[in-house]
Amino acid sequence: MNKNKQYKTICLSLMRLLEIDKEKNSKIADYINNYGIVNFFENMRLMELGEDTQKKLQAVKDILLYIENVDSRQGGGPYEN
Amino acid sequence: MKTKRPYTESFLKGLKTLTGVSYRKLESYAKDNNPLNVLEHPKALDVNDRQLEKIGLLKEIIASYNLLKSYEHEDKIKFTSPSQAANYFVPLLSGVKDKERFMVAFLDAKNSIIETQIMSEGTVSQAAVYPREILKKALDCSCSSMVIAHNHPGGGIKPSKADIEVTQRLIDIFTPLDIAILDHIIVAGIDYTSLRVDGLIPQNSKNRANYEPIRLGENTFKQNIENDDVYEKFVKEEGWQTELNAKLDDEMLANDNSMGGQKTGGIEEKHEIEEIEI
Repeated sequence: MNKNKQYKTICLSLMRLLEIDKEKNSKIADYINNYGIVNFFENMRLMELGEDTQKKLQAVKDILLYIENVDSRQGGGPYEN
Repeated sequence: MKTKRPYTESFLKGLKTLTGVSYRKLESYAKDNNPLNVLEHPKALDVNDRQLEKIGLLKEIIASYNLLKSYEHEDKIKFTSPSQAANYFVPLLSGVKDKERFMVAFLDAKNSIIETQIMSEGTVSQAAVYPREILKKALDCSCSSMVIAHNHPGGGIKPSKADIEVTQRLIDIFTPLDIAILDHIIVAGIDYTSLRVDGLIPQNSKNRANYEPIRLGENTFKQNIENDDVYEKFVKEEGWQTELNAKLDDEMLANDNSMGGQKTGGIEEKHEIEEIEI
């Protein structure tokens, strides 16, 4: 996997989903490229991105958190020989 | 399927915020279906084209995130030099023009960031630092060291007397606890200064730990450091530069100021470690 390519992809998707301007997108892209996507979502509240953008980013984070914490495939016992 | 109610609500609200699909529609769907199906089978909710496009973008982000997360698992941010610490804090502080913000990055034994917190924010000219709050966070996350940082909205890059004093106060508190203050970064615009690079990080505790709030600001004290002559005079009078440079590792200086620590520094005055009332 080309990590840089994935960073570019996710930044582009974020820009289109959040409908943010180039300046904000550039800020986000710089951070993600330097520190990664996980660190970005952990520290995004520290970036001056404006209330509206922060709200939308929090929404993305809530969705990611839900997917991480809710496993719809639980169940089934151990394999038996 | 197991779901956790608070997460589900946030998930549905998040979907509403990002896609524009009404919360009522989402909630009604989620009563009898797996909420994740909204992403997999959005047409079941009778969404319009624009909402469909947004859901598609969200799915791309989720997929990319999950992929990158596994690759980043070992990529914690690590401070190995003042310039790295500065490069971390500058983007977080350079845009803050209307107030002073004081931040702390709590680090583990390998100098990787455990977490970063904004510890206080003030006005354009000053902020208060609350040592007890920093202590609480430090003990909560079991950090081994920290890098502190704040901004000068006015743009002056030279550390003030208050900046140096707050560093000493925190060292007085944390050195007896074997928690090092590795550096104090001051950000002004896109420029910065590192007290470590400037040789202004005290190596030892000087006074008893004092947990009273500390006023921090570019112009807090009259004896502000305005130019190089005043700056050097202040440093010389306080005896900081000579003492500290003598103790700095030559190798560290030669190797582009790689981060050192205070763990091996001795404590000039022995302090009994008092029970701290938090």
